[in-house]
Amino acid sequence: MLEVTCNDRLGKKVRVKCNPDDTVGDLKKLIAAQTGTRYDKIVLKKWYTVFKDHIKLADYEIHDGMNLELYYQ
Amino acid sequence: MRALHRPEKNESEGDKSVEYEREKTKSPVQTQSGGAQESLSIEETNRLRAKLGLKPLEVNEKPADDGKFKDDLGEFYHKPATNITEQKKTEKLKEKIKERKEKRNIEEKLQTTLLGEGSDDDDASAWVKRSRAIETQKKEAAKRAAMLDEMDAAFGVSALLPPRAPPAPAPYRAPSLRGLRVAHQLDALEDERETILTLADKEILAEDPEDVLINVNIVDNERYKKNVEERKKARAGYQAYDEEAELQASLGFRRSVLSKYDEQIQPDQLDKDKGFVIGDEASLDAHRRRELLLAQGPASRRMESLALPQPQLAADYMDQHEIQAKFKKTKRKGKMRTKPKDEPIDADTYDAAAAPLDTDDTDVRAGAAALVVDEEETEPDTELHAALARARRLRLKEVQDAAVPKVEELLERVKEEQVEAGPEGMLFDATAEFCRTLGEAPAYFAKQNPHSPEHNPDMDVEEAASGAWSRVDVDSEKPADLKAGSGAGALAGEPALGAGVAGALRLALSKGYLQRAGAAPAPPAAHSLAARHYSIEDKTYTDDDKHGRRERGYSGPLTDFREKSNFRPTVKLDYVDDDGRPLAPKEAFRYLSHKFHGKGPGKNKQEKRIKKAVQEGLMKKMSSTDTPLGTLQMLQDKQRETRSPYVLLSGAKRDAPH
Repeated sequence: MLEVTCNDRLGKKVRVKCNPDDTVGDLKKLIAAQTGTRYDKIVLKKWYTVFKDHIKLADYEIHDGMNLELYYQ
Repeated sequence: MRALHRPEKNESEGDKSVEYEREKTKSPVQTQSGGAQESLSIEETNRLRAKLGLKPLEVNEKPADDGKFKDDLGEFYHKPATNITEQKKTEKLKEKIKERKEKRNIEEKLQTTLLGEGSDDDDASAWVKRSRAIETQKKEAAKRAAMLDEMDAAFGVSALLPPRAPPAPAPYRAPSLRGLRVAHQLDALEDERETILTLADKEILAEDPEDVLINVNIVDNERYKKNVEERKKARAGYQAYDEEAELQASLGFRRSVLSKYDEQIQPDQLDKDKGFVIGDEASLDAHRRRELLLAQGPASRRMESLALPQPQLAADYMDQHEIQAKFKKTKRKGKMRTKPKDEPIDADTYDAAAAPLDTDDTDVRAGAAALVVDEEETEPDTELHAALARARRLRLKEVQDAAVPKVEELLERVKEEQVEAGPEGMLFDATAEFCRTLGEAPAYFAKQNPHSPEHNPDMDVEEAASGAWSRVDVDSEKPADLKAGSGAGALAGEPALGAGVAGALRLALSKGYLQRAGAAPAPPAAHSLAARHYSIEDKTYTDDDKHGRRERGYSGPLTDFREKSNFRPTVKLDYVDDDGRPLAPKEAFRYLSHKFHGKGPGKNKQEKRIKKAVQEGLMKKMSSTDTPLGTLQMLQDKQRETRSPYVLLSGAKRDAPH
């Protein structure tokens, strides 16, 4: 169980608890539930790396406490 | 959304906004406008996950009981790292143990009785006993050996053993040597001297069982001589005129071919020819006789006579043989390839324009030349055509003039219409409408009429009463009187600077340079200008990662620029000549190249282009329905004249007298 902070630099900063074997798509759904946007509108990035939906967090080596950038498409 | 209340306190650590969140009862997952951090508890998260269809959260595992540690991802058990101090300790212990063990072994070996020590019994008697025991043992051993020897002798084993001393060699005589081959010539063996012959070395598995005797010294000599010869030959190289070889050939010996390679091809062979067999008198005699003969003189010796053929007068005529040799016709096998001959073209054979000259790419069409020639001939017809064309042009002009109405006529017509309409009813006129809308423009026109503010309030009341409709005098020259509206505060136009101080003061007041006593201008409402979702809290850069240190002045696009989907632009590239003619891509490129390099085409090329343009012009002028000479038209005219459907051609039969 890890907790990931998602910040879009326009005022939305959420902390989401998830499993390491969750996919990025699941994480997006959790974020969407918390922020109120639609999950298919969310883009998670780290600098220029765009996190793809079908890959697990563990494979992206997203650990507890990491900050992800929240963008919208 | 259902109203859910939170059963427990929020788990987010020390968050100020916790209290604010509790007030909201719509849903536990709503964010704040302040954008504060928010986190759900594990239970809530699990509930949410169940709703989304995900499995619940995994709580962190404790490390296993057997002391193994899982790595960061929780997948593998890692072996704990080796403790180097412990390793060293164990090594030391091992060494010590080994040393002690070896010491023990050595000491065990050394556990023999020393000379000084030993039996502690009475010396004399013990020693006597021991010595006697040793004696008896010796005797017994001797006895046993004797018995064994006797037993061996009894079974006749001794005969199998090799004799101690080898017997003396039996002497052999001449008869016993009969049949043995000696590998040297009889001459090589010296007379009156003993030569010791030994058996030549032979391979065990050699095919022939014959033994060959050699003398080592003779063999060495022969080898030496052979080597010398070989060296000489090698130095000499290939001898085309080897006199010795020729002599030998004449004598009857076989002439060797490329004798210098004999050594390589057949190395070191004891010639079977050389040598003799002991006891074989007959062959020896034969050999001796042959040599004598050779020494005397060979049977066949080529002798050259020095007599030359008689000199004869040369004949003037050739022999039959000479004729045949000289004038033999050789048959030519195969065909010889003939080139096509380049003959000069005879000018008379071809017509003026039809000669096949390979000078120019473009064929100047015969028709064009003919056209030029024919136009001169048919003058009377072109005059007619010219007259017709003129009449046509005049007619077209009239029609065109009629189409464009003149401005004065228009105005007259309009005036007539206006007079007809009268004052009853509402007349909608384009100009009237336009001027009406002018009435709503801002206060530019105010300055043109300085006395207008007097009229304005009256006008205002009138306008307000009539509502949307307002009448404007089109005939009067005055522009519409307009009042500068109070405006919406900051967005109104600034009061115009008039001629006097009053205007200046007004302007200054409005701008805020001056302040009216007592009344400070009301600031605009804060909420209208302020950002709605701004909170200072967002500016805390707590993480010390690269994102915190990133360039914050970056105001570029945050999302990728995406092209419009389903957009297919229509691309049409049209190139135009200097004269306005449209160009093909090839010509356009040529034009571009000329401009780029600054060099145009040469004189010939330009002339060609001009010719081409002229050709094109002619093509365009050419009538599509008729031949260039207008034959069809002529035919039709003639038919009209004679009023007959046929035309009589001038021909020999017609003119000829019947």
